Amino acid sequence: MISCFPASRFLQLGRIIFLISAIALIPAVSRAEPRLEESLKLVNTLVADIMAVVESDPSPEKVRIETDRMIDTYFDYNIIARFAAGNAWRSASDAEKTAYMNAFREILLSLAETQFNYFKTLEYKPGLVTPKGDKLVVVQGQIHDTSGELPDTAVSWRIRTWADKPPRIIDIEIENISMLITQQQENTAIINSNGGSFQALIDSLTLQAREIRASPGLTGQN
Amino acid sequence: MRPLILKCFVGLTLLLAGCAVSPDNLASDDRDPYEATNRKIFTFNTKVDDAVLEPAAKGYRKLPSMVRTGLTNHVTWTSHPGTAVNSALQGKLENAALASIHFLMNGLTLGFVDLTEDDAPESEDFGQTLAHWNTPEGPYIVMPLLGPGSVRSHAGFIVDGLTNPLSYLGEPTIDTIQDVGLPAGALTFRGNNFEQINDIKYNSVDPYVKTRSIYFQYREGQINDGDVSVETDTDAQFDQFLDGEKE
Repeated sequence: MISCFPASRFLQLGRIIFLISAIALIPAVSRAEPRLEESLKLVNTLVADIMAVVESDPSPEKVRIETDRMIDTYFDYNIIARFAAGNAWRSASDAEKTAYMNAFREILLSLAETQFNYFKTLEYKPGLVTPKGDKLVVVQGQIHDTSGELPDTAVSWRIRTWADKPPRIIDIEIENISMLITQQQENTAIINSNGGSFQALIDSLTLQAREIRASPGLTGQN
Repeated sequence: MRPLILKCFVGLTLLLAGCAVSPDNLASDDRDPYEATNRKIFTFNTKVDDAVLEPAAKGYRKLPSMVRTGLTNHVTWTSHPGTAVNSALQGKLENAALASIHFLMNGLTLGFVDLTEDDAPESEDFGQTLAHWNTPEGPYIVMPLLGPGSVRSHAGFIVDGLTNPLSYLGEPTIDTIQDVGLPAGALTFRGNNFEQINDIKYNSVDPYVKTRSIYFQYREGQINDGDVSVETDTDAQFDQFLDGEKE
């Protein structure tokens, strides 16, 4: 039988099976791909945007303005702020929610203002894109420090995707450490240690933002 | 045998610390039932960092880049035998072979110069091996000087110290390397993560909670080898949040 079915036939059969499989898979891939591609594009555009700002050698004021713009353009600040507040968000008053959103945003802007210089020697290499359920996509990458001061660092962007609107970044993980989870746990601890007071969190964040802005960077002089 | 005595002392301290504390009501995380005691030890460790580690790390950062890289390489090199053993125990034979090759080749320079061109092996310790064998993590414990960890990871640290093949060579040079290994590791770790640790110390509202959160997430990443397809606690928390979100 084998002699009647030469190797070239096996190859032909293989090609046919491959083609059929590929055709069968097309709908699944096309269903999955748009949000993966959009997520990857979102991160790459953000990185390019950051690099353009870095290259313009911006003043602290410009960094602040640009960061404010980038938060609205690439991130879902509403989800980020609500997640970071933890369970206490539900019981907070509208006034407290607004004050907290402002205080938390001030921390992000202050951190960007004082730490933006670190971006100057960094390069970003995109990596894998992985769907996480039907609402999230994780885009991986690597940060390389051209000065050699820092080792290569893994970074992951957690992106919320929707069927009817563009994706937005909701978290950044550095070496598997989620910035948002870390912030949430810290915020929850502050609220708990102050008898469940949401106002205590607002006060604490306001003070923290002021301290960040007053510090000359993260060089330990504080 | 001095390294063994040192590690037995560390082990004894760990056991005594574990016995001395009892669950308290301050716990803000289910994994941290001894939070009140842990916070006291964390404060002590922070004072040690203020007085010793941070100034030493500042000095370390002033060393020429080549010297710092050499010291970091050396500390990594001393961990390769443990990585080889633990990789083998977890069935990661390629990593075990890679760690052995790196150890043997770089041994020509006592690990100060990296003579290999391929990627470094993934660091594996006995705590990760215990996790691989589905051993429960146990409560979160902050150890004096050694810092944060779970009972499983601290126990793994002791076993790694006792079973490190370097301990059994009986060479005076190797004994010296073992003696300075722990402080050298602490210094290079503090120096190489200077900004990040200072960020936690000086910029966070509750450095204790932030350290604990970072420990659990980083450790989970190590255990999963950074494989993003593995479902983690972080994934579960995001899923839970988004499920409760109004579309």
